[in-house]
Amino acid sequence: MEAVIEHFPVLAVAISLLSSFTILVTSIYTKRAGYPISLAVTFIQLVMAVLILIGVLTDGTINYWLGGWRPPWGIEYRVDVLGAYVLVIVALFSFFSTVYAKRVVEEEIESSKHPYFYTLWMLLVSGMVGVAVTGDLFNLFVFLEISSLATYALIAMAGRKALIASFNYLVLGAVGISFYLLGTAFLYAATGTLNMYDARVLVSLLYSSKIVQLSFVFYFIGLAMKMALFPFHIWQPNAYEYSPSAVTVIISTALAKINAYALFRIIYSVYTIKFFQNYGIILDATAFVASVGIIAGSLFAIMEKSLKKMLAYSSVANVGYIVLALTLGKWGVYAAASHLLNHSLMKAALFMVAGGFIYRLGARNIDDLEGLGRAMPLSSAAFAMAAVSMIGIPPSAGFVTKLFILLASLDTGRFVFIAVMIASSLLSLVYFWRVIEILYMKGHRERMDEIPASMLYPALLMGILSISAGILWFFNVDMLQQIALALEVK
Amino acid sequence: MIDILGYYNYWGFVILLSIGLYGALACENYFKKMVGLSIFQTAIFLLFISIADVGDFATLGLKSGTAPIFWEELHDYRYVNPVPHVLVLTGIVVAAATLALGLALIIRIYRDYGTLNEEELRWKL
Repeated sequence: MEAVIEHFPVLAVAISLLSSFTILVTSIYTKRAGYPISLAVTFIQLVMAVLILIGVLTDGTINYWLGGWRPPWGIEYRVDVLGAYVLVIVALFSFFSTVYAKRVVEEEIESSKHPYFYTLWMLLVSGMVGVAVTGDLFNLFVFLEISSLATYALIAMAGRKALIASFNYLVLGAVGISFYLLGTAFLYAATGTLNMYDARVLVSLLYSSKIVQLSFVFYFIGLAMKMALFPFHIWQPNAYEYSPSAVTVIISTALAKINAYALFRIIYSVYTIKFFQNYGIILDATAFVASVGIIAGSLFAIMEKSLKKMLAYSSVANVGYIVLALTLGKWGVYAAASHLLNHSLMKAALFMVAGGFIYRLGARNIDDLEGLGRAMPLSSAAFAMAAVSMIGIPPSAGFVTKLFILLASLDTGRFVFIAVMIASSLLSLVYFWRVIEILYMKGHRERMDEIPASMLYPALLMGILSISAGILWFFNVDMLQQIALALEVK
Repeated sequence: MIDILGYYNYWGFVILLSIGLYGALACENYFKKMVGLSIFQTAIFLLFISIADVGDFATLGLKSGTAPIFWEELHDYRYVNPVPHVLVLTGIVVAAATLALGLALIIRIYRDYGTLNEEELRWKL
């Protein structure tokens, strides 16, 4: 079994890439094959990802040399605890987004285009899985670009306004990815290697080199654009608002986390924390940008009328949390790693329900949701559970992240971030309470049909998990410790 | 002076990068944005090609790097690092895909809205 698991990282990428083309070819004969193939493949990937995680936790890092070429010459797939954990996140949310997709896609996309939708969908999944397993900087660029290009096209499939949203995302996304490539060029000029773990050794001798310092700045700007950190977030609200509901779910959970993970990887596996200890200014600047992003995102969310846009601005704030946590040492790593999952759980439930309201009622604005708490009790409950978790009431998922950030701020003596965190919690209380109030306390509607089962049950599962994740994390601190240990963070 | 001019390819990279970034982010017209984006990406490829040719050849009395083919008589010559060329090849494919997708979107947008001006389209959102 161990021997098989070693091949799983590359197989996980290969099956989704192959299935993508299979769907396109089968579309000549039938237009209905896309959904079952996608569902089967994402399920197999989920099983593989869980097996990889268990394998990595017991036997240590998996190294896979593509074509048998020894790194640093060949491309290496390297799955450590963090990589395996992110792989599980990607596979989990890809699978549940696919389950969710069936009904909304039937509603929102013409049936003749379904095969193309699922072709792009699987392309997006393979790009994300690839980012999670790769240990090569340029390979990471290629996988990021595969997932991004698929995303632009998927967003545009909703037509009309989505075209403009998609184009704006394309321009900023492509500039962001190009900055990533620029960073790679500078790092390659300084070290002559593309393998992350080789670069880590070589960079440790070159911390004072201006080229190396500049390359990090380029990496940071590029990935900040991709993951919609505050000053670069302008593409995100429109892209989330106008894209097909299923696409919103997958890009707000798996794709957003993959971009954050890429930054995580580059900070801790390539430049390492010693680089930032030597140049505190970079660390302070990053933390400052992230803090401004947290507050600004929350303020924008308060002012927003549309439900999906409000959730998008809340994502801007939460990406700020992850980046802030990355600058805060060991407890910060715990916070960032746990928030990758926590935020995905909450946003999956929220966007699934928001998409469900659009599906049933065409209700895009928060004011249109009056009285739905009684009319659709289960759907509203899923939303409310995730919203409570976003606010950070114990023992929910959001609380765990906030607790870790609190401990990290105390540990590193940077108390200002406690104030930032409390302020943002209060602001998120304001904007989520507004929705809950409208759902449960205003207006009156007759009982109506819940959103369809294939959309409701994933949302409920995510909602329940986001409430109970705090307790689950309590039993899994061990894994966070192993992540920090593998990244040599003490 | 000669020192500065000697790095002409790097100057080309910086100028193209600035033009491209300006075009992609500041131009009002969507089509010009795509042109800017293309120039921006090409500038990065120019940088990759430039860093592939390492070493101070003038002082060594050598002409420049040659292709990385093993040839006994040429062992005094430096060869050009092939890896960045391969990266650029992949990068060009990615850039072409981005450009194609962007232009396809532009065609759809023009059909639906009859304009490609950013200000006018922003009001439609």
